[in-house]
Amino acid sequence: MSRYGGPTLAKGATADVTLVLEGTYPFVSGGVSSWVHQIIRGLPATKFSIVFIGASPDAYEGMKYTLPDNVVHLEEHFLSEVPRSDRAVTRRGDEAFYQCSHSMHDALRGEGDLSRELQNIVVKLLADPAKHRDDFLFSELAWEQICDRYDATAKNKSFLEYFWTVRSMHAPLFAMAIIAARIPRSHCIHVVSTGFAGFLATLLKQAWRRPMVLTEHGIYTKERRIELLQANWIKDEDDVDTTTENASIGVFRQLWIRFFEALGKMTYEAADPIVALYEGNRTRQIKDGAPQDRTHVIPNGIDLVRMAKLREARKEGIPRVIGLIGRVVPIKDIKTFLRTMRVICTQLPDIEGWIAGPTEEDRAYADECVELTKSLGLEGRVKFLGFQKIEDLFPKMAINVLTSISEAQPLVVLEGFAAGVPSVATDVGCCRELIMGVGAEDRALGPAGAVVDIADPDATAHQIIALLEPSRWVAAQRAGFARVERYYTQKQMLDRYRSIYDKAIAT
Amino acid sequence: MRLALLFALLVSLAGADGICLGALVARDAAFTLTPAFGVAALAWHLGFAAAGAAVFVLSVPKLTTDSTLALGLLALALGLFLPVLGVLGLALAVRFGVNHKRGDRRRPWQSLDPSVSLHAPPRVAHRNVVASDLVSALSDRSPENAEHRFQVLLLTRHLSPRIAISILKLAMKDPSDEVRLFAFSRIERFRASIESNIKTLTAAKEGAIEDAARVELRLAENHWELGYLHLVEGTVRLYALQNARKHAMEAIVLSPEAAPAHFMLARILLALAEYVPASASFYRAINLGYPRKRVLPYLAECAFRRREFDVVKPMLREVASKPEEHFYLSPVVDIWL
Repeated sequence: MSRYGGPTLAKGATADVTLVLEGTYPFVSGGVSSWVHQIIRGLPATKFSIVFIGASPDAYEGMKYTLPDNVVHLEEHFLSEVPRSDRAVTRRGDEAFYQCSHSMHDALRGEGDLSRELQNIVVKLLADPAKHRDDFLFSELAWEQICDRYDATAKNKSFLEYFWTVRSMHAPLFAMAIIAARIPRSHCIHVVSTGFAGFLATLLKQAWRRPMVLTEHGIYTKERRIELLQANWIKDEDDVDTTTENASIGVFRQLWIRFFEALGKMTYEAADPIVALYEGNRTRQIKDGAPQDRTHVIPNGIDLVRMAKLREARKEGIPRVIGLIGRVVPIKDIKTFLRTMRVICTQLPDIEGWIAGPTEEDRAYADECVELTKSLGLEGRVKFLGFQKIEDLFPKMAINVLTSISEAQPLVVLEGFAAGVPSVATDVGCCRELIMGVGAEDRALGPAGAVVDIADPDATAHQIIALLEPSRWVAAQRAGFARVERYYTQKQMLDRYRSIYDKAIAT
Repeated sequence: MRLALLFALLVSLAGADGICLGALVARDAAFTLTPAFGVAALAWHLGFAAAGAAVFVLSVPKLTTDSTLALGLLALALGLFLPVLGVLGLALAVRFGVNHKRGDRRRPWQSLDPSVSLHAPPRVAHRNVVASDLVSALSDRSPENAEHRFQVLLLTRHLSPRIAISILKLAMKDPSDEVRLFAFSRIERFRASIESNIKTLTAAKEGAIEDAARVELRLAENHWELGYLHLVEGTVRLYALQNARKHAMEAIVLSPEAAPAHFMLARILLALAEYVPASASFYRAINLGYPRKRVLPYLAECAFRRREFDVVKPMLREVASKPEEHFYLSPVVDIWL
């Protein structure tokens, strides 16, 4: 049952599709959440059940979207609420399970058949998840396996650190198994990332014997890797041998990275089809272990009718507002936008910068951005608007700027094109494809803005100023709209998902 | 809780009184102190000390998950051996110690050292890690070489920040997401550290009237460092240097005789390509006692930039007279002399 007031399926009732979502819809606004909302609204005949996995209930203030009527069930689970066992009870553990666990870890390293080992361990885990959780925490066999793996991989490192790292990374997996037993059934599982959500979906697939669809917007494993490389909570020095110039990241950081890579591999192993938003990410999925024949590309799609109203709402001329629509979080590199605004305002004093996106997700970073705004003397020139509807933004914006250090296929760029706003974006994900076009026919439409390197305020400012030149701006506006109209419509996207769901439900 | 602590204290006092009372009774009744009486008095005292300890432990807030027994034993020991003062002291310690907040006595100009020392030559490469080798390794941008390039970035930790940042900036144009984003995150750490210093120092300005000059100087150093480390470029670098100049001048207004402030201002002006005022500030720093040998290379640079080559030579000759202090300048000296 949802603690936020979402609907609950009656006992024994089923949905058509269970969406398994980690850290997104309906509690966080952003590109992925908008996409999920779009799919649910666009397929009103399909009954959706939503399973949300988050870090901690404190991190979410409430639902950011009004759930459409075809959402028949919502439940949330938080990793920080993993139940603790207060009393340790001596036990030997399940020999067969730990033999499976051993083989599974070998298979993840490429020594064995991953598909078979995954199947074996998931079956055992689902048979009695609470017992296996307690075994993992208190059994001799679990202890022995941890010790063996420590000896093999991290012998000269702190055992305590190793022990708690292994415990804390695996504990949520047992929690997922317990959750999986309680989730109401549906005909198809659709998971929108790998990671913990991917693992839960893998368990559901096995428990229900129903098809599992995976759509990845960004590549979860890659994004986790970047986060982990920056994480300060891992107290781990990199290993560097300066005499041989060999270097590698620290053992505990590697453990976490490999853990998420393993979750990724397991999810890819279980999912069919595996969908990416663009060819670059499909290639990456294959490199990371996704079977090539199951991979597909379905790009984002835009509701052209809705966006036509925004184009009509535009006034004559080019507004003097440069906007960045996105969450105020490090991955969006808002600080580069602020530095860009410093350069622009020095040359064009009448330009305003808007940052429209929620600031709650990383308040410390948001505070740093506000501080930097003051430090750069941009008070009054740059506005933090918080979350805003695009209807209130696009008609007033000249250029839609994206300074992200990592993206997949940013929906906001496509929405901007459809609303008549060209874009200057960093060369990440498929931004170059969106702005410059891919293939001769697409490129012939012309550039719908400009692409710049990450973290380069001077180049970004230069491109923005150049794009504000009226003839170039009009040409970019026209190219952007033509590109969306031809390649990125909502109808194209929904038709493909409808077909995937129909096939899965009929299985 | 206050009442419970008071009760614990009274119980312990009663334990102490038990001994005293026993002694008085023994004296007034002209009893001789028998071993049995001593044992009874001690048992009386132990019982009250234990009761006091129990009440105490149950009444104080739970400090840690495992401390109940330890705290009980401590209270018992104190009640037993220091009948009055022991429990009283513990009660006071808990009462005031648990909620005591440590005052913020940090001095930002002491704790926030810029990563580049103004008074020492730049650090050189660590052991076998050579910057040019790393640059060359990064130039092979084939997908197969991505892991090696990533390892190369790890080695930049052994270089001075300025050199490391220049290499990391090259890596920010790498086709591999991992390489590019790792480089970005390393650069952001440098930048965030300096920006955090600036924030702390700006906040410290309010309450640091007597040390205002030092705070201003540290602010100048941190703003200057953003430019020096190439963490900001172009217009933003110019803006950072202008901020640095503003704070350095403020520091000089507050403390006109401070040689380091004049030296800092001179370096900022040099970075802003204002060579004449930069030279003047360097000389002012020397006149105020800043070591001439540290200023000379910068003065030589100012002269060089102003194309006063005849001035450069004698300065470098003086630099060359103490090669051990300017070993990093030896290639320049070799060319000129």
